[in-house]
Amino acid sequence: MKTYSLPKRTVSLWRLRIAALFLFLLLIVFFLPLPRTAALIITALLSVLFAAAAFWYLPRFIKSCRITVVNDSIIIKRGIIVENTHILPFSRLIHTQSVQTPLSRMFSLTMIFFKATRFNLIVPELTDADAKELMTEISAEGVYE
Amino acid sequence: MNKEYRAHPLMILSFIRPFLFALVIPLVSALIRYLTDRKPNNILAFELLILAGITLIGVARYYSFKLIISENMLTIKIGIIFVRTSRISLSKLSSVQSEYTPLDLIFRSVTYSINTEAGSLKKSDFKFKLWRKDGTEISEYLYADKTVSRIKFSAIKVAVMAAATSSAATGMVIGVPVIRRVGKLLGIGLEEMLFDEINTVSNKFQTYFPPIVNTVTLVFLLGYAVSFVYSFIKHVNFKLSFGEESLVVHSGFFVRFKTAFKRSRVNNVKIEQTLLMRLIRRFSLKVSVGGFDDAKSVSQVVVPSGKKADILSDFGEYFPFLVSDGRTLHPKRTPRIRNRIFMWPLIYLLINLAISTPLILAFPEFDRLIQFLNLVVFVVLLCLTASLVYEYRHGKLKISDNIFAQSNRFFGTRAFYSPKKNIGQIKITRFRFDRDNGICRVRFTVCSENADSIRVRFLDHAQVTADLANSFNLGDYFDTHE
Repeated sequence: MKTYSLPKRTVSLWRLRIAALFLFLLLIVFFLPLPRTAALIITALLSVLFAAAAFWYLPRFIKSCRITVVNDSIIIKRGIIVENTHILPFSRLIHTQSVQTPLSRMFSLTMIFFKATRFNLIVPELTDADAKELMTEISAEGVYE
Repeated sequence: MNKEYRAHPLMILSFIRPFLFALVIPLVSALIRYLTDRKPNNILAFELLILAGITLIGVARYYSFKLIISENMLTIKIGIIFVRTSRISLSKLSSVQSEYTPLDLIFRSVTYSINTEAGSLKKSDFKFKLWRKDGTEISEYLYADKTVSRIKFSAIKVAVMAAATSSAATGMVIGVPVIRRVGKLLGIGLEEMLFDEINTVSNKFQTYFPPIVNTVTLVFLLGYAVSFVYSFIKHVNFKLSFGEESLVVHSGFFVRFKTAFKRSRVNNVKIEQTLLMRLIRRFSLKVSVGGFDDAKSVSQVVVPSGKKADILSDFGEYFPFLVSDGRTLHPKRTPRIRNRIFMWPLIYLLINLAISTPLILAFPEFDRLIQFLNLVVFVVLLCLTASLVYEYRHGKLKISDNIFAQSNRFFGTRAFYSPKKNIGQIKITRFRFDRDNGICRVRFTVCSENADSIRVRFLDHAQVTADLANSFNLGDYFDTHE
């Protein structure tokens, strides 16, 4: 049984992404013909949401993610408010896919998709080495045989 | 052995059908203008030229079609410029379906569909027209099996199923496009005429509620009637033929369907009961077969209406996974969990009252309409509560080599049976309340094109994880990671 957890770099990566989204929303508010008070209230609300997401929710969520390879299955456990445990038997896995965006490449992180017939399981960014090891381990378990 | 089959000439019509609507109406109007003016016009010549071109392509594609069946391979060739050849191993076929429309009965043809686990969802992988004798020959070759028994379901049983599973929304989805198309084809405002008629009829009823309520009720009743008629006609003449290895379902009145599939291709079985069926204590049995049917769902009704005990005894031998051993897990029954069931209906009710009371005070002239809407919400909440109580009292889960789960689904109920090997994903979800009370909700999803799933709530987390670890060989994962 081997367990993989997400590195702290993943938190930084997602903070950057959320910050980009926050700035984009602020720009929209800025260019919308809104009364000054309404714009201020929306900006304050967005700021609180951003702070809560980036500094409270995100670190805890990333810390809660655990990917475990157990005998014939992959188990992914994650969640703070709602805790989810996904069990995916190897026999039903069709293929795995790793994805790197330019931003995640800068942080040396890789996201993995586990693809079954009608659903995907997404693992947020692992370190490149862990992602490679996980994919090799799954191939070694005979998923593609 | 290599046997080659050609398409039926009616397939040319299938090829040109997508262009018919765009071509025929302008062509007819151009023809009428030609007949009235007695002068050839450019539009008519242009339309005729396009129609001839499309027909020519259709004829060429028809001639190019070949279906070759060898020892264990099926090959389909089609195309003139872009030739497409598909080779499918016979063991990979999920099901074949023959469809006979009245036109097929006249021209001795059949619409034949071949389905596999691959391909797009809710769409047949290959659909073509064959001569009827060829279709029968292919079906006999692909699903050659000794018929062990045959069951015919009476029209009454089919009517019960149609009445219990029909809904006004489905009726509207089916009826509105038909009315719109017919109106366009005839060049009249059929929708407006129908709406005026409904308005006139509904105004004749004098009730406590305003006339708009009568109109909406009438529209809903009409929608339900359309859905009932559609479902009844689709499923009437329902016959089941059991072979040793395959199952054949016949149904339909105007358009006759014959669907054959191997027993081994069945992914899971569902015994369902809608809200109306609960009143008469009847159930329907559906099987999910990978990659089949171009209807809304890829599950095939096998028993339209019957008693649950009868269904289980009749099919227990045929689908061995209907029998599952292992301990039965029930929702944890404590006063706190029981009270939680009523929490959401109560919250919805309070929200409803919080919205409707100020509305009545602000718009007293609409008080009766708001009261009616409140009544509808109240009935829906009652149904929701009944469904949640069912889940709490009758929810079940058995995890062994076969999975059995029983729970509610919208306002109906569903019992789900599947071999363990077909389960694609298991999801355990726990909210804060669940963690505090040692319970969880478990969702099983079948790994198939249809991906049927079922969720059972309020189960004891420790029992569920212990059974999952045993059955799915998860070792001591839950002991070390909880």
